[in-house]
Amino acid sequence: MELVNAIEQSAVGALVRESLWVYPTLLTLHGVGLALLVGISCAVDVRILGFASDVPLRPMARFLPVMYLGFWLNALSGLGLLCAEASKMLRDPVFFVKMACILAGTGAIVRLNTLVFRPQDARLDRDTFHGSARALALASLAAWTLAIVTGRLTAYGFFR
Amino acid sequence: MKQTMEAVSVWLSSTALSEYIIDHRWIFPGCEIFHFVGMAMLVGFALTLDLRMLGVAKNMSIVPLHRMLAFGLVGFGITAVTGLGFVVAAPSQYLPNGVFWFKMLFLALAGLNIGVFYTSGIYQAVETLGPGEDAPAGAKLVGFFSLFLWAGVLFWGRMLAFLGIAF
Repeated sequence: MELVNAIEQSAVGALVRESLWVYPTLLTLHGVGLALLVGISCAVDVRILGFASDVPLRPMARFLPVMYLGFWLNALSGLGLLCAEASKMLRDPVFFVKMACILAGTGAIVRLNTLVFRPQDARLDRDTFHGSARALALASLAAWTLAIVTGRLTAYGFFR
Repeated sequence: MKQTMEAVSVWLSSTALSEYIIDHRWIFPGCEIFHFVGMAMLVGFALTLDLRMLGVAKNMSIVPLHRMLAFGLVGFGITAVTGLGFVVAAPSQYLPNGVFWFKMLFLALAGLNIGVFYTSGIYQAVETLGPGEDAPAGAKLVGFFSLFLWAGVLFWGRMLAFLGIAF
C-alpha cells in the first residue's frame, strides 16, 4: 500500500487532484475517448455479427485509427485520473474487473484486426462471418459493456 | 428563473417516481451505466457518418452507413430515458444548474443540425454518394457541427459535477 500512497502523493497525482481544470478535463476526454473506441468497435462488431451485412467492411478499416485514438486517449486520461485517486481505485475490486475487461476488449479488437482486416484477404469482402470472428466480435461487445458498467461503479465504491 | 427552477425541483423530488428511484439505490447507478452505453452507441454511430462526409473512409458509400444510424437512435432513446431518470431523481442537481441548460442547448443545436441535414436537401445530395465520391461542402459543415455539438454535450454533461452547483 506504500506504492499506492506514493502514486497518490506524486506530482501528477497532486496536479490532477488540486487543479480546478485538470480533473474535469481528463474526465471529459475519458468520455470522448470512450465514445470513439466503443462506438467504432461496436459498429465493426455488429457488422461482423451479421447486422447491415451489405455494409462493405473493407473501407471501414479507415475508421480503425479513430478507434485506436480513442483507446490511447482513454489510456492516458485514465492514467492521470488513476494517479489522483490511486488509493480509492487500487483498493476497489471493481476497478480490477474493469481493467480485466479492457484487457479482454483490447485483445479482442487487436485479434479481430489481424483476423478480419487483412487487406490482401478476400474474406474482408464477404457478407457473413463465422466462428472465431463472430466470437471475437461478441467478446469485444461484452467486454466494452462490462468495462462501462464497472467503470461507472468505481465512482460509488459499493464493493470497497 | 432560478427560484422557479428550485420550486419545480422541490415538487419533482416529492413525486412518487422520484422517491422510488432514491429509495432503490441501484436505480440511479444503473441509469448512469445505461446512459454511458447509450452515449457510446449514439455518438459512435453518428460520428462514422460524420467522418465519412468529412472525407474519412471515403470509399464507403453513404447508404449503409446511414442505415446503421438506427443503432444510434436506440442509443439516443437509452440516454433520453435514463437522463430523465436522473432529473426526476435529483432535480435540484440539474434544473437550477446553468451547466445542465448548456448541455440541453447543445443537445437542441445537435437536433437542429440533424433537422437541417434532412430538410435542406443535404441528405438527398449525399444519399447517392458511392465509394470514393466527395461530399458537398454543406454536408461537411453538418458533419463538423455534429462532431462539435456531441463533444459539447459530453463536455457539459461531465462538467455538471464541477461547474455551477456540485454534486
